[in-house]
Amino acid sequence: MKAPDSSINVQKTFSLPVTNWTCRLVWTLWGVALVLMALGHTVTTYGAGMVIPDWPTTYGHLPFLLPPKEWFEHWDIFLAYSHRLVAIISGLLSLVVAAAFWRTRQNLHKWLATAAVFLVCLQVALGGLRVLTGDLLLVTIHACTGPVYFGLVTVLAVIAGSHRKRPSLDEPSPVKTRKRASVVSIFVASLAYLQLVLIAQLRHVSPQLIPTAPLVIVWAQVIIWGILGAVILGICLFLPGSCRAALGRMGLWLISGLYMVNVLLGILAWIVNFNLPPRFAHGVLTVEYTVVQAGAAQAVLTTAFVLVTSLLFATSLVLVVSNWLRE
Amino acid sequence: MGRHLFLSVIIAVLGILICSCSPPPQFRLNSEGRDPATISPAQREAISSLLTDFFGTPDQPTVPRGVTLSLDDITKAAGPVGRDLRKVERGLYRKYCAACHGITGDGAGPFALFFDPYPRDFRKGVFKYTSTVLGAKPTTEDLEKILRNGMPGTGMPSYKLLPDRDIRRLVEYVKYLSMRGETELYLLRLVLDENELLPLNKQSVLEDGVLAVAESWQLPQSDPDAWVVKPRPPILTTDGLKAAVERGRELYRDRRAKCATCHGPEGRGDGEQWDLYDDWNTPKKGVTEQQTRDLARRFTLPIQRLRPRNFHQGIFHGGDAPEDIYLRIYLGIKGTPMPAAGPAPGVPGVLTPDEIWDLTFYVLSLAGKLPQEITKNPSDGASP
Repeated sequence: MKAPDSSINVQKTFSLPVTNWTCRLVWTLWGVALVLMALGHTVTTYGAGMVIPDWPTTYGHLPFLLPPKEWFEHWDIFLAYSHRLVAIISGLLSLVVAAAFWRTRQNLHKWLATAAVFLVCLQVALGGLRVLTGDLLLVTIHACTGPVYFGLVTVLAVIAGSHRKRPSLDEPSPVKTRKRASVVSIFVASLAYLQLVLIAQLRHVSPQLIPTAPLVIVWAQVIIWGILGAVILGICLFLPGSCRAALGRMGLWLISGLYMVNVLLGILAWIVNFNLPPRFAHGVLTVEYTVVQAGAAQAVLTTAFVLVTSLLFATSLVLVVSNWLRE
Repeated sequence: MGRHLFLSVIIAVLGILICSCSPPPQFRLNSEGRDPATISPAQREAISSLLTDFFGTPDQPTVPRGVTLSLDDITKAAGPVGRDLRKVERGLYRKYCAACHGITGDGAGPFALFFDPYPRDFRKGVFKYTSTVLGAKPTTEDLEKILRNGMPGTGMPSYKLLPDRDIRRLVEYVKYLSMRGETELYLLRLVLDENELLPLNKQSVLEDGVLAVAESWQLPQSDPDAWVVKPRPPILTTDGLKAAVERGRELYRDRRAKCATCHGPEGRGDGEQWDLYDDWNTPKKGVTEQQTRDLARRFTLPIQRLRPRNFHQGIFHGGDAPEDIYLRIYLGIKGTPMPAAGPAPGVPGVLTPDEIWDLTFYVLSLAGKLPQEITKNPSDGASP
């Protein structure tokens, strides 16, 4: 019996009846989700998560009805309220996108869009409960779920957009190569997510925590960087060309670039928050630097570091799903 | 499918609500250097209940009767981070300080191990960089200055972007934590070392413990001429400064100043005295290595050695202005082996104020921070 031609399956997967409008909609959602996540990270950087004491109202006003004067009165209130508004927009857009995909015949798109709606609702609930209970654990979960929502929306946007530009699937990679590429992409995505979980623990640390725990987290972060760096270097140097092709040239470039920016921003974020580590502080690398609390450098670099880590996770998630689709 | 989704949401929300029942933060009993097993529950209870009576809790602080601290400022600095419905900000200490200095102000917050030196433990009531004479508490201005300028080369940030009102509130809260910590030390001595009969007399603890501590904080504010040193740099031309640096070089090696013993002959922090510890780490040091290891179990943070400043790096934790260096030499660095060289009430100094200025200019020259000339006196205060 003749084995089914995998290229035909792949061709079917990518030749979706996704309209240009749906595609634009899902990319708009991606943009809004990115802004939402950037605002969320900025809220954490400025410690502004609890500045609005009520929820779902804002100082007694319904969403979108807070007078502009009150919105712009304090920087922290501006951030927290903007985060709430963009979350609502993101939630509504997720619903519209899900509705649009449910009209198509594509199961994967339907369920990804539904999962995005579920996640954004969970995020809203977590954010609201955090305000009402003041519990740190909730905001830590909120910070861990946020990148998953963003990653999901990214995957949805990429696979929905792929109907316009079909990948070269004339010569599909051998099964072994594809599997290897799959394993590598899942590994990278898992490490990137683990990194996000660790960052969330550090950024929402309980003041009652024993001092050893954050140190362990930091060392775990350094080890993850090492492993990620080794994996990316390994892909570039040692993986066969066919395997690299299976991962996607563009995806590889993106992951490598984001990883390097991630490490650079991570080091800079450490310095603008804690100054040079003690080992350097007494060595030759000593620089005269004073950390400025809530200064521009601290805010931008810390936020950018977490944002780039989320982008790294989302990109690796796209690679995972692309490989899975090819299989 | 819809039913499963609904159930999942319900389970997730319930799980979150159950997990959300963590208790509010509490002040931690100061058992540093003691075996916690030797403190009985009754002793623990006696100490913590009195402290709560006098100072309240991290979420609801109180100020003991007769203590001049602003309860309004302390309340706004304490508690969880956020704003109330009138948009008044609260929880400043937890937002900006607690991650390093801890809820109790014990310098053992979650990030404490990231730093060398460790964040300050306020409970001893000792602050390194002050303008007050040996043994005296810092002035409000000293603490405000540290908050505004931060400490270069350490993790202590500058809060210069914060409004003055918030800095004042944080300083008030630091004083509150320090007074609470010193009262706790007094109670620990009373209950554990002197085996005072329980229950303790609240009135006598207030008078002999709380108010005595509060008075020591009040002294530099009430009589600054006696307790506070105001640097008045001499007016010097470029040549005059060069001459002062030369005199400072001689003094640096002088037997009276003994600078080279710790800071090394060239000021590179490589003197013969290298095994140095501050007051927070000295109790962790045993005679033998095994003793030090055994002692470590009784402390939250591991022992940390002090490193005398390498002047060539140009980093001065207490500030690099001539007045700052002058104060460091004149008053020493409290809680560390860096001694005070200037005179104090009833104590003749090893160096005169003029000699201290010479030494200041020499140190600044090593750091490459010597001013071209000094044309005006920034301080109007009297020379000490």
